[in-house]
Amino acid sequence: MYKMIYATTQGSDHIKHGILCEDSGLVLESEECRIFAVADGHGDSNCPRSQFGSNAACRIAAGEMEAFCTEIHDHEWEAKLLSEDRDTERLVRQLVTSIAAKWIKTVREDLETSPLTDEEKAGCTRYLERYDRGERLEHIYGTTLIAALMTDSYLLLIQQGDGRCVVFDSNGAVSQPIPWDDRCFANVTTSMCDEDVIQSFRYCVIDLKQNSIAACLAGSDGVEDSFPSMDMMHVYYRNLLLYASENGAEALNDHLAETLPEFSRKGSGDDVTICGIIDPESIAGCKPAFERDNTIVRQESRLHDLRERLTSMNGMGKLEALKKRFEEASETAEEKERLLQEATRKLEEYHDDLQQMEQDEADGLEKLLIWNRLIDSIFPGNRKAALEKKVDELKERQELAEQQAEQSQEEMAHAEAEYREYLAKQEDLEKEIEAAQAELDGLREEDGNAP
Amino acid sequence: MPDIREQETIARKLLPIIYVLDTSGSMAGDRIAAVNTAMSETMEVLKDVSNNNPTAELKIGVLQFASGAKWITSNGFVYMDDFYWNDLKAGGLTDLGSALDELQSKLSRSAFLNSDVGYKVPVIIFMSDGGPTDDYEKALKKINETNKWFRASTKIAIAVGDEANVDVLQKIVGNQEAVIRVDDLESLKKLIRVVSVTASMIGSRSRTDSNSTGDIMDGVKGQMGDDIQTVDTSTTVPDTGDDPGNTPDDSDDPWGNADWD
Amino acid sequence: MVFETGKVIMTSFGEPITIDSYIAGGGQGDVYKVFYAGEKKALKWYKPGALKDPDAFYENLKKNTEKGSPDKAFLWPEAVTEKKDGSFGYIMNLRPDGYNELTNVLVTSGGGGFTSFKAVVEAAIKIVSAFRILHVRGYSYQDMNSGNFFINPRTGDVLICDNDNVAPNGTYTGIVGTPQYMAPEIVMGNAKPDTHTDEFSLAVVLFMLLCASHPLEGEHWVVPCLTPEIEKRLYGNDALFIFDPHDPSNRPVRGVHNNVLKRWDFLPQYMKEAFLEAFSREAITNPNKRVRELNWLKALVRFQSDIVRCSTCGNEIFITNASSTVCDRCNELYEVKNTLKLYEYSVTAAKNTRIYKCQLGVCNADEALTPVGLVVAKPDNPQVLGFRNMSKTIMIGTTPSGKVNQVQPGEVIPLKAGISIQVFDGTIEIQ
Repeated sequence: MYKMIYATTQGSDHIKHGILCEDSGLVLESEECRIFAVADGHGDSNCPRSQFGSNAACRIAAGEMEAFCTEIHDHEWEAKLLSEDRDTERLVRQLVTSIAAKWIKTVREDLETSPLTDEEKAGCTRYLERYDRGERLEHIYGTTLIAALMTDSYLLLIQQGDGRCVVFDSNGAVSQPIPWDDRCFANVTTSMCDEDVIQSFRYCVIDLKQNSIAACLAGSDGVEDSFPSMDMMHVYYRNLLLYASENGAEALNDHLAETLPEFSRKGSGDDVTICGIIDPESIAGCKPAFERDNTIVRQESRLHDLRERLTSMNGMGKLEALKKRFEEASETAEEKERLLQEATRKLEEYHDDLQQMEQDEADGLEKLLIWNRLIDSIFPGNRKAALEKKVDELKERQELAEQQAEQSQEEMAHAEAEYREYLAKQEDLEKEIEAAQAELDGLREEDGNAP
Repeated sequence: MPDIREQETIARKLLPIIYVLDTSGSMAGDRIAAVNTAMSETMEVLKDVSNNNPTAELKIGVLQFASGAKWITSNGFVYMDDFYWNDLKAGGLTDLGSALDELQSKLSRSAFLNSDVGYKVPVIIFMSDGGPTDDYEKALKKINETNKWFRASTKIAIAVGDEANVDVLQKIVGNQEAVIRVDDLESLKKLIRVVSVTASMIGSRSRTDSNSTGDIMDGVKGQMGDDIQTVDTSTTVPDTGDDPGNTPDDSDDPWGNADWD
Repeated sequence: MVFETGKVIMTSFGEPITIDSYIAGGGQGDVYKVFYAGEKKALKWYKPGALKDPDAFYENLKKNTEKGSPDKAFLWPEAVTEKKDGSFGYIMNLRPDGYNELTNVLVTSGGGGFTSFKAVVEAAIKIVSAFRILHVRGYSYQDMNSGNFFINPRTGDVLICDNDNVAPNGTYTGIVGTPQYMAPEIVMGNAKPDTHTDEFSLAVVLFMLLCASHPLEGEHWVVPCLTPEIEKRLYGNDALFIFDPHDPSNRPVRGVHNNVLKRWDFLPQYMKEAFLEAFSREAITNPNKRVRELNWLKALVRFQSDIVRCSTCGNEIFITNASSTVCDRCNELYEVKNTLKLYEYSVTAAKNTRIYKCQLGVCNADEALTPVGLVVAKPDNPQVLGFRNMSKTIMIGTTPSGKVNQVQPGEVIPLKAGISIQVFDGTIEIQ
């Protein structure tokens, strides 16, 4: 028994900046078919009415798909649709043409009844000239669209723009069967407002009698942008499905309503919408496979991250540079220590001399007089004062040398600490990688032996 | 039963900032010294920016070109924590084409941008003080035609000194207004820092404009004031279509010579 | 089941055809490169069961090979083969290089290889005249659709293929055609193909060539699924021209039909009128009210002369009313210095303007495209224009002062206002 999944939340960044939720989602169940649609209005100030656009896209897609379903059924054209040749192309291209044309008409009509306000115009920094000339008006409402139509015999998936549609078959294997458009990458996407929208629409038709599926879910890019990889996004979806198989689809919808805001906050910050069709019984059968896959993928993802971090650490030779700095700082510290000792020795020498001199004076010795006459001939002026001055000088120098030695010690300690820290970080990382790899190998072995 | 709330560490998106630096002979001496100082100072500042940015984590790439081009970050882009500036030395030619070829080969999912969902559109900062000494046009055509990351990237160029070829830089960044001219070394240092910081903050915004060059330039101009010159837009050349049409041969047939007045 | 290289098939009169290689295949049959009588030719071999009435078809095909091609624009069946393995085929010339299928030309952006709109009009004229020739011989083209037309976009030359479906008027070989090009009465199942149904199909092809969109596909066509019922409404007796003046419910839809939305307004009034007539409710419901080939020719040759190039930006300009017109791209005024006043209207006298016999007055369809004159430029001074006698008769030219000159075929008259030219019982006045 198939159930519908529907959840949407305004992005935490949008809330922060006072921007409306630009995502739209829609689900529809009837006797003949099940339909869902997900649309993500562009978050660009040049597209002030993208929320209207995404909303319209979902409604129109659902309406057209329902009519399409009826006609296919009435004329018994399921085989044509599943034929994977020109018939399929013609049928689906006609459908997307109708959806695109009606969307264009709807947004144009909206613009005619309510022209852009001054506030809306203020944001259209790059497009206002074109809008004023009546060009590219659809861009004001720009949105992506993913939509699905499921009957007893087929599942039709169509997509324009980014966002991801994920299908889990009855064995639990995951895929993204709609062909991708390479023009969608990073924060760049194709759109319902593109001039070549009709030719750009991608689609796929799945024969359900040959390939029954456990679930089909579509998410706006707010979902995938919250994960470091597609694999990790699939882990998330598997968890959602497991939750539904244990608690029911309605419970999952409630759970998503509760958790998506936090999900957005911790992740992409963007609007998040997830819609889909799931078969809880079939999913229950996939539980072992899901749990296995999740564990392995999580581990792989972690390992990948760790490896990437390690590569980055080695990327600019920082470790070598820190080591070199430490070594140089050590040398400098040694040198400064040596100079300090030198300065101290010299100071002591002269200091001793001075002390001796004072002692001798006090003793009033004969040899002192001879000594003094000798010194007088070398040091003009007041001998004692000169010697004292010299001692003071040497004392200053020694203090300075002491300071420098201290400083260089500090610097060396600092360089050493930095080096050792970075080295430890790298060593820890390497150990972690080794452990993670071992764990992963273990998991894979288990999986290989699993029934 | 897995707890969905037990969230995997959600990584922030990665914003690559790529420096393409001219280390030709003319940069030797004070100029390269200024660049070296600027780069290591800027990296310190960027560490802060990266740590405080909730939407994107910065990764840095450095590509130097003189006689040929070479990635300093040869294993791929490097996280701020792992960045370490080793002073560059200058000497050699100005092979801009080779630099573009290197960008072409590494700006791809199978090379430096190896993540399904992780990367934002990069910011590329070019810096040169001269004119290209190789066939940069061929390389530029190739990269523009075949590399969507390059096409979508926010590109800014810094033209140092009088000999810098501003036209070439304009062609490379594809935008006459994204080339900044600077003459004295203090301003150059400041500029490298200002461009880096502004670009990293604006490029990581989650509200998408497919190209944030305009905003970055505004930010830079605001902070640099008179210390730099930016370039005015020049006039565009009109399209002249050629004239085929069916022209039957009317070369040497007789021309009426009767009296026709 | 594809034939291997080296296989030999006999013609119906016993000559051998040797298979060289497979070229392509369609719903009806497969086409091969073959050797016949020492030359490279093409062989079309029908798939067993592809034809509704194979015997009638075979007889008709054989007759066609015996009658021969009506015109060099037709890639005509040369000989039928023996009947073998439940099927048969025929040989014809190979299609030369440089020709694209009209369907491809219509859907390719950038003009489909046409270098100018003038070449498009040239192709249109050639298609019409090819059909005229067919009908004059008493044939009708029973499966006319854009897949049969091959166009050389550089020159505008037209090659009409798949002539295995050509049959004498009134015969019915079992081919019915594709609904988009079918006359409404055939769509409704009320009639068999004949000249009038061809006229309708021709009008559709011309509209698609000039406007890159189907004349009956507007808002009514924007439905999620094209069912047979809907097709019957769209292309049958309820068909409605997208620019029908009385009923706007089938107007072209923005985003889907952008081509025609751009082009229609640029077409000259007389072209629009021709289409309005061809797709009026009368013409749709009454086969006798359709636009005849001669009238298409007259409109198209006039259109051809009204297309010039802006000297400032190179954009093509459609001259209105033979008077100076502003270029819609660069806003420069294109000055019409001289015109040629003809029987019903004037045309711009620009380099390459052609005058045909049908423009001089009453003319029968066979002679419509007989060349009369061509505006040429002086080789050493391209600003100076003249009018060359392209006919095979002598023209009489009279100057404003009354002086009369004879103009031999090939001779050129300077293009000076006031000169009047008599030829073929008609008058051309240079103004």
